[in-house]
Amino acid sequence: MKKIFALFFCFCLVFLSACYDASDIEETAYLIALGIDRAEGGFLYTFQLASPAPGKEGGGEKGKNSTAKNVVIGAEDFYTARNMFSNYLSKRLNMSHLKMIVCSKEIAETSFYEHSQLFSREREIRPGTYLAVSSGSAEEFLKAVNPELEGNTAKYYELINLDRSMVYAPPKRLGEFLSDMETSDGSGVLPVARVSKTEKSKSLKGEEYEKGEMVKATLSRVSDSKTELYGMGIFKKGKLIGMLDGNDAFMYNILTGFTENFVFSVMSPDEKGRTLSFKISLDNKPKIKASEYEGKIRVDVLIEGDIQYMGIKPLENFNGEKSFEKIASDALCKELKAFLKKTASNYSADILKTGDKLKKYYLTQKDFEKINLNDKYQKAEFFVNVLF
Amino acid sequence: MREKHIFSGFELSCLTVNLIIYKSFTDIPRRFLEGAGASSFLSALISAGIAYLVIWFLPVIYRETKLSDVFSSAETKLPKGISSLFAVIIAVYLILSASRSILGVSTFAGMSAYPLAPFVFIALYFAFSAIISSFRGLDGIIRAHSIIVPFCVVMTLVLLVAIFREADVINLFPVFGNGVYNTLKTAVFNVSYYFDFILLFLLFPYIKNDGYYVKTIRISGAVGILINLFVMLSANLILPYPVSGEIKYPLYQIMKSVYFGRFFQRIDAFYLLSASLSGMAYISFNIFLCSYVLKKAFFLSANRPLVPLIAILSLLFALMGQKDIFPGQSTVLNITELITCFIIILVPFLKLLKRGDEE
Repeated sequence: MKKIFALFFCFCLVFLSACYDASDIEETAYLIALGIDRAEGGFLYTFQLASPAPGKEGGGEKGKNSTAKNVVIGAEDFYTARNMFSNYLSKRLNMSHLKMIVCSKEIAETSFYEHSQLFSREREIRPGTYLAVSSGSAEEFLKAVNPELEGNTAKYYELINLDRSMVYAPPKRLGEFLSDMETSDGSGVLPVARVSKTEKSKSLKGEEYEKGEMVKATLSRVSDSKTELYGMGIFKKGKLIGMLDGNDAFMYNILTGFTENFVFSVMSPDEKGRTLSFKISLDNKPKIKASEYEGKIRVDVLIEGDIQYMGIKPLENFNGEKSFEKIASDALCKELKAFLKKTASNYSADILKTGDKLKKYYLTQKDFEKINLNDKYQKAEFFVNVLF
Repeated sequence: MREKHIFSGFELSCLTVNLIIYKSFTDIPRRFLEGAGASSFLSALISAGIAYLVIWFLPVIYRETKLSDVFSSAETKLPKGISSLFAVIIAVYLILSASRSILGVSTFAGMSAYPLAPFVFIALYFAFSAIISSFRGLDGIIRAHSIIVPFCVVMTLVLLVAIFREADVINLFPVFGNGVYNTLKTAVFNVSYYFDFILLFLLFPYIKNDGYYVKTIRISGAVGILINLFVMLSANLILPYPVSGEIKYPLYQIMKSVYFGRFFQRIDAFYLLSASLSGMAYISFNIFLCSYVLKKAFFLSANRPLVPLIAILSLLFALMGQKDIFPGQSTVLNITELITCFIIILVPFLKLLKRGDEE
């Protein structure tokens, strides 16, 4: 009896082995990046797929990315495009390896948030998928991606976003972006992805610095790679409201704690044209406190870390009165404060979620909503303290 | 099936813990997030306090009254035939509860792993497994619990600890979220999040009515409640309000962000496994218990023939729930759940009254 029962059980398993969801690797097209652009009456979706037989070494066309294929489909929404994709390719689209979603500036200004919400509900798309706003068209960016040192494009997207030494753009994941949009202020940022137009190294002349000012990054194309992440787009209530450059993104990364170890350069306070570089390691994430003071929001930022001068000439008692720690901390404080002030007064965007820290002073959500955080944050006062 | 199999302390603990934690894998935690907002953990904490009071006192009352059979004891003070009515109500609750679990586990498994498979296929799989395990009797179910529950508990805790880097303390504020009234209302209305352990008291021939079980139920009840609280705390810390109340299966959504470095990816598959195993263990136990209750109350010679019938009924209700054919199903479930709790808590007091009358 037991044997018959066991045989019957095994027989039943054959019919319960999820044949509906069987997925053969040879019958699957793996999406690694998705681009969204505006088209007349709808959207233009660029599906970047992992190439089944990458020919990097095997005679792939020079200057072309042979590890990925791009398919561009125009449709009124994502799912229609996905359905049309099935008509076009014999393979089944699988999005579980999607690494990056790029949208154009136009889309970011209108409907990227709705797209993100839709993607977050999609079973195959992970909350860890990276997002970016393209300064030009997303299609152009994806087609220009040609990893120089990685074996495949998917790995390139993963590594570039995971790299903590990338200071001039803030990597953002889908889950984080949606969570940012749901904060009381509804502000957040996304990195800017762009295709470099410069064909030769850009001259650095013309940048006039004040003494003791932070040395800023200027773009200079030195390799064959055309694509880069540089700068950030500011979002408010799901819509792009402005774009900031890589130096602002650097400040943002320091304030969020993403950038913990970095090299910081300032112009020498007593010798024109000479730069002083410091290696800075932050002890912890910056401590950001928010409080209400005479009807205004006051934000206190405290950054603590170690500093090391990266030069040959000793800098003790530099200029007779200032230590090198002071030179660096003054320059950093000034930049951080200017950055915070800019995001607050120009964009009224609380991208560091400082307003949320005021929640602890209120008993209920209703009480908190009454304070009109949006208006108050615009007039907020910032106090930054950097201790080395 | 041995009628007088006595659970060991470990077996009883595993059963108690699973009866409490299986609800964490369902959509029930969302009720707290939706109702109480930022104070959902506080609300869950209040519910836990109420539940633990019952866990603390009820076993002692059962021990002191030396009550070993809920149904015959009910008739000591109430009219004859009441035990049959009680059994029918409890059976309705158990069938609807099993159907809710089949629906929950199948939807969850379908959503996360088998998007193309028809719902009925997945539900059939769980119902079929439940029939087989219930048919084998309580011994097998308990043995399965002893293996499954430690795995589920360890996996869930490991995954929750891994996800804690996403936590933000500020999500716990404002302290009273959607208001004091909503926080308390959510706490009271969702106390059932912890309450299925009460079904243990229907199993007295299998539990020695002695001192050991009081201590075991108290400790394992506390463990189960703490796990559920930890789940609620994680959901509250990770998901900001109002998005937290809009997400289906909140625990699964936060588990998708588990990250152990680039080498170990998609670890959340273990969560899917834990949820399915815990759900299946509960459904099997539930179907067995339903057949056992009917056998006891109606003096049937065996409960096995009832098992397929109960499983089919549960499956049908699950399918009806999925298609929303019978909209009052969840109301009936909530009412019968309340009455079941009431019966199980009330019966020992009836015996105390009877003893008082005799004295």
